[in-house]
Amino acid sequence: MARKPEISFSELIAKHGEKAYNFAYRLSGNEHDARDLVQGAYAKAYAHFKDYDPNRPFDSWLCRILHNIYLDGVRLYAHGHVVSLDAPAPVDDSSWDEILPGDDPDPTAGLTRKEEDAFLQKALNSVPVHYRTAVTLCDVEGLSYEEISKIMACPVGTVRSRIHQGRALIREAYEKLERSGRKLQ
Amino acid sequence: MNQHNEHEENILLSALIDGELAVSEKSRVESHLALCKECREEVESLRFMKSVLAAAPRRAMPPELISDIERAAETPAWRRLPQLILAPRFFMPAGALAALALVASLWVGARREKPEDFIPLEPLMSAHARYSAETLVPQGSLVSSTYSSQLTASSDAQDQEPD
Repeated sequence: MARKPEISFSELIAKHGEKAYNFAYRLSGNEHDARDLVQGAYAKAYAHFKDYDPNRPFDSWLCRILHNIYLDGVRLYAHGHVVSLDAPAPVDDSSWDEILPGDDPDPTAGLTRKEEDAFLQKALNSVPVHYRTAVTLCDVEGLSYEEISKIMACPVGTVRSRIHQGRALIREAYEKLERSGRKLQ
Repeated sequence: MNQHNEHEENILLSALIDGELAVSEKSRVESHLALCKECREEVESLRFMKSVLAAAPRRAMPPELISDIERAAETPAWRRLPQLILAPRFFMPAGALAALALVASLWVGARREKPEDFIPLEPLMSAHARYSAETLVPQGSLVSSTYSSQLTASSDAQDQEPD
């Protein structure tokens, strides 16, 4: 029997927090809900830490908890503002790093990246949550289908289908937004 | 894009660019791609979308969030109790339970038979005896009831007592 590695909860926060936060941000579409999701996920993980198998990846376990919290929120507030599937992209929800002047030689490039990110988030927001989750975990977080199937608690075949359809839907929405954005410029 | 629904390999195109196909599936899809320009374009388009998503800017976890999580984890359970009670996820089920308990108690209360009024007999009997002694109550004017029969019996018993 493998010996359980000694790892503190603080170390797990430092190691996997960024991944959980980015996943939460792409799911919810804004920083405020992403914070709540990550905090909720870590609180639940801490409460059930004795159930965690250290031989399995902690980030998958944490993302699964986070995803379940998010789905509970979607079910509870299906028509609310907190986790609305139709919520607009958080174009004004910028961090201070993005707002304060930096040493970027071409500020317009930064603006374009910001716009692109806003389009991307809008495109993600426009697709049903199962597609958004599968595509985010695969393309943004770089997880395998097997890992995604564990997080989403569904067969690998379903993951494959959701990723393909989700990616196609996101592409459609993204191209549409880009076209409309170019027209405005 | 819509025309791709005709192609049986369509759903496997994403799996191909993700490197998630079995060897047999991969060779089948690649054979199809060699003959189908439309699917090759579709693969390129999906690959581009994947690269856009993969290049999406990463957000650093806010430092205060890390300290908030650590503080919450270090806080003993009894100190988190007020927060737990005030949290909507606790408040809503607790409120629902309280409402249910109230409805149940009202329902049970409504079904419960009203208890019979208890009238203490002793003062009545003593008052009657006193009034009888003072001839304030004529013997024939008592209304026939449980109490009057008891009073009559009591009065008869008193009469029969030897002096």
